Amino acid sequence: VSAPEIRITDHQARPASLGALVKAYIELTKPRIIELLLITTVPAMVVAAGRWPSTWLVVATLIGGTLSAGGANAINNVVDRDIDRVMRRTRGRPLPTQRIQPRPALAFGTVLGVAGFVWLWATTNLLAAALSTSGLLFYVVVYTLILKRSTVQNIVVGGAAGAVPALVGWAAVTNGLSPAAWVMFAVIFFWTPPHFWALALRYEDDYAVAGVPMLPVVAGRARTLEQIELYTIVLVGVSLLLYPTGAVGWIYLVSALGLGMWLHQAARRLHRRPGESMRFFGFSNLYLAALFVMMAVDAAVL
Amino acid sequence: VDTLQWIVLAVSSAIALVGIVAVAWRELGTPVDAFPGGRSRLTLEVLFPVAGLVALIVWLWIG
Repeated sequence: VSAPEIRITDHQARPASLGALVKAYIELTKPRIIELLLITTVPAMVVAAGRWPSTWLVVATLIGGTLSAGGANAINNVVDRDIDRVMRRTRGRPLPTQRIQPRPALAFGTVLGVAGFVWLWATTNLLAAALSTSGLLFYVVVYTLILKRSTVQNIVVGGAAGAVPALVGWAAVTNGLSPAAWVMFAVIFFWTPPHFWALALRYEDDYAVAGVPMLPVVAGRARTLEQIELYTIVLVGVSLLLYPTGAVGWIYLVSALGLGMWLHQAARRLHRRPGESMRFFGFSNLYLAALFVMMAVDAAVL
Repeated sequence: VDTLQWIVLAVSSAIALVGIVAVAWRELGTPVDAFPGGRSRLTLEVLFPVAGLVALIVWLWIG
């Protein structure tokens, strides 16, 4: 697919109204990805506090996390605009459709990132602010600029960026990081590869055309399905490691075991029916959300 | 730390370590030379999650 094949109408090229322009800027921040990041932040705060923390602290942390993640996503949109243009899944984004130009998009992302740091420092603490900004920098520099186009392990190492919000949530409450916080980080880190490889199975052709070495493109479907299954085993083990830290009790232990077995069954099913990769993608979203909700419930109840 | 926590720590460490060793073993055998821009040496990238997980588990056992 080459660039001229993309139809850019006048309407797409320049947003017709202020509302359309605002919508395009919101789209630039990838709000759906931010939602998932925030789902892990609040439970981390509840577990760190051992109960529901101050509502103001939760709101302030979520605002700061949204600004940082939004900034990271906006800058990612700028860097990846060439490959977004040729992928079916991403060609409707604001930059490929020219609803926003790269320079203002980059400025927007930078402003959001700086605002996220300042806001978190002012309302929580320096550690939370620094962690949030390090997540942004890791996502932009290490994942987007270095790994994404050069290695099949892109999403594995890059997954660290998506795991940072749990550390931010913990740090916002305690102004420190304990082993339990790092276990939560590890849960998200090891959840990321099977989750995104399921998406890559669905959009394998897109990634191949765009020249992104995702695992299905480089190693094939069979190896990808095998890796998804192996990573779910690692994930189940890592999720159970939270119990021995003493931060959570039996409610979480039983939930993690049940949810882990369910996800592993889903991975085995995907192995038999590779065409259902988006079903697994949805399951893995549910798994992560349910696991973190049960952490919070456990910490709040026991 | 009670007995159940020790048992869960032992079992979950074993599951995670067996899983990550299997992941690394298979990944290091992935041919990537054929892909334009792909690297022929994946060792560091594959060992990153292995090293991180081992460090976390050692920390939990010591702590």
